[in-house]
Amino acid sequence: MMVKKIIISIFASIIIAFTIFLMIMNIPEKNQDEIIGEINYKEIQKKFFSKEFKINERKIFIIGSSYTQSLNTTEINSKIQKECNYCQVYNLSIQGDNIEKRSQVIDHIISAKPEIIIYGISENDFSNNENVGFDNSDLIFPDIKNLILIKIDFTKYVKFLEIPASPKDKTWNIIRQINKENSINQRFAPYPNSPFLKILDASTISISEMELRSLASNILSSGKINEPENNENFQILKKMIKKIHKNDIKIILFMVPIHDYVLSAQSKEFKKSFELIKKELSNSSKVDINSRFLNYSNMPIWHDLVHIAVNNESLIFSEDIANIILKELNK
Amino acid sequence: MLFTTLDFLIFFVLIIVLLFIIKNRKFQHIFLLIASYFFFYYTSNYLVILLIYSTLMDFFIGKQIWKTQKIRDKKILLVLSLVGNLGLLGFFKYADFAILQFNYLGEQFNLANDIPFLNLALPIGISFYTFQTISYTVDIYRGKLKPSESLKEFALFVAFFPQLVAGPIVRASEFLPQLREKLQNKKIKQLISIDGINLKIGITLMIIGFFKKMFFADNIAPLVNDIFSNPYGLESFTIILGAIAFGLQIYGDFSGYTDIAIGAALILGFKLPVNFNKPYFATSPSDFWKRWHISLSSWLRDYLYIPLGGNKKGTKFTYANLMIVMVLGGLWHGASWNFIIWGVLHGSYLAVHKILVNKFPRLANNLFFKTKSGKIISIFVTQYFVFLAWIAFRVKDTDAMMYSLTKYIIWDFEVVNTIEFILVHKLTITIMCLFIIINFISYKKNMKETIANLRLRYWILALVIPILLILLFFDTTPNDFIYFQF
Repeated sequence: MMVKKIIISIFASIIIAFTIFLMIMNIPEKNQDEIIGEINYKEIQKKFFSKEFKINERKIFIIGSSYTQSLNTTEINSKIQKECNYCQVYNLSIQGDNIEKRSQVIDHIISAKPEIIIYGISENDFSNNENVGFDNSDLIFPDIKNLILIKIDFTKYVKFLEIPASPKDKTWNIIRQINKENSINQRFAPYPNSPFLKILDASTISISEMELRSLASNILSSGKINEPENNENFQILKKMIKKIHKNDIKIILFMVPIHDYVLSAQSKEFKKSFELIKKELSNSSKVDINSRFLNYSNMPIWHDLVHIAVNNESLIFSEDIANIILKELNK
Repeated sequence: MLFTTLDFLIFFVLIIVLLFIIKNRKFQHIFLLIASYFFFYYTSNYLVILLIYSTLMDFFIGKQIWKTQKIRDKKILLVLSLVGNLGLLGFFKYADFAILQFNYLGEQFNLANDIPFLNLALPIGISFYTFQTISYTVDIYRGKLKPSESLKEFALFVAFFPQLVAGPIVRASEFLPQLREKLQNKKIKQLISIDGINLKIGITLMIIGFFKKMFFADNIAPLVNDIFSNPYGLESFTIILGAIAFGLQIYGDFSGYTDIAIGAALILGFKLPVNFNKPYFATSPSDFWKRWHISLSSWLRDYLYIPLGGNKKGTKFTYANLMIVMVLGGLWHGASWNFIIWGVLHGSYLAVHKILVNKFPRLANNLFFKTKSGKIISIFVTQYFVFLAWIAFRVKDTDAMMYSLTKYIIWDFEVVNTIEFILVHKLTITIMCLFIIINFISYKKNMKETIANLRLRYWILALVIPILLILLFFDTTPNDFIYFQF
């Protein structure tokens, strides 16, 4: 009898707590996207590209997501302007950007008549992220954990209950909202010519090897990359490149830096599928993808496993991109 | 399997339900053993072989030690067990560290001996279960323990899932009698029968454990990372703030894990030893080690300090023994210099405290230290050194550690960055203050007991608060328990 009562009490506690939790999670909060300019993604970009640039300016646009936010335009411009006086590099990266979103504004980008567009991409741009399995290539016995996680996709239930991806972040945001707090995680534009970048203070911190290792223990596999003909993002990118070429604009693709820990967690199948995408892109669009800068993993420049910190120690990334641009200008 | 994942909750509920259905105690025993191996296999895959190896080796060696009459043969068997266990631990945990040191030495002497690293996966919980099996054979050798009669019984002692991966380090003499009584006492019909009182206390402990880990430790962690990921240029007070934050984080993390383990075991009807007893209220270094990770410190005392001679071979040997024990205790946490330095610091604290007590008995026995203010001063002084040592534990890079330690000891009295840090992290600091207040209240009153003894309707309400806070501060990528890596 006592046991039954206790079990009912536990369930009662969980139900009460969960109900209050769901109520709090549904409190509307100030849209964080607004801060990074994503809510009016098209509008903000349209406004920028329709502005009057200097007449004799040779514009070079870097486009990409948060992976390219650490490209320092001051550094790149100082290097490039030694050889090309009128060249002006803009870092048009936007946090959360992807191929599909970029294709929606490609006409605006083209309308600004840049000479070169340099686009940072990664394997994830072509991956469907359909499962949350772990890489199991090194395991001897069957990986039960992976099998169970594939069978029971918990994210389905989380979506059904409308629980945000990170309740912790949502709670923090609500508390900050109540406090009318602006100072925490204040965002700022890191350098000139980066109109869409509003980065967090925290993004300037390079983390230690120990922390990178600790992050590496939670790496999930990157999902699956479909073959080129069935890969939606590949097809969109192909169309985008065609449009860019049609307007006599050069396009350079490069692989954004990702730490070795992430790369070594990618399955052989995943890597093979991406090689196929690269090959097909080269054949059909006549665009080669500049390989990833391999020596970065050992440098103390990482903010996390996929982002280079926005600070002076990570200028090597900007220097390497400047060299790619110079190579293209000198062709 | 991480305790803080949904996987564990589903696993645990399923175990309880199935044990409830299986009434036969022999089947319950086998089922619990299989469940424990599954728990380990789920995240460690083939490394489960090491657990089985350790179990089989010590079960048979333990039996042989008991049977053998000759002291010499007993000794040989004991050495065999120690070599087997410590060899396993050494190979998987310290091989790469040893190679690194060897290569470094070679470099100093211009020898071209760059040995490649083995890059072995560190088996989760290896430091805990090897220590458990060592204590088993040593106790049999000392004649303090009768060996386990059945392999099933011994295997469950080694692999019992609540304490398998991060302790507490259970002695066979504490666990086996509980199991035997359930298996042999005819009055007890089932191995596992869910008892109302145990269930209530167990659930309370588990929820408090989750609360300590997921609400406190995981929310304090970002502040600690911010400070210690790159401490260069930070002011003394920022470093002190970081040390306090890390001290609270590791306490919330590890004692939270222990509460979950003890609670889960209690629901299944097993009592595990207490591992923490308000460590930050310790009044001396030796008092701290009677309160922090008690199962490890008592293990080190019984199986290392005393066999080394303890304090029976004169003062010099006592200090040396203390240092050896603490350095090895530090190394037990991981193959890295920072853990050795942490051990050296604690070894020095214990030795210096012993010297002071021996040389100045009047000071040590001064009535002032028995008064409230005397105790408060002792607590502050002790904790100042304990938190100093936490810096060595947390900061792996030696230069960064030296910088942080210097700033912690020699204050620069700058406050500009510290104020900025506090303002940026004021919510985290609020959580830290809340944790300190709760700990202070629990010093006076045992909160776990108080909550567990509440009437059901109040108990429900008492559980709602931590559950709600856990949900609200739940992170989709939960942080591993710090002690899982050891």
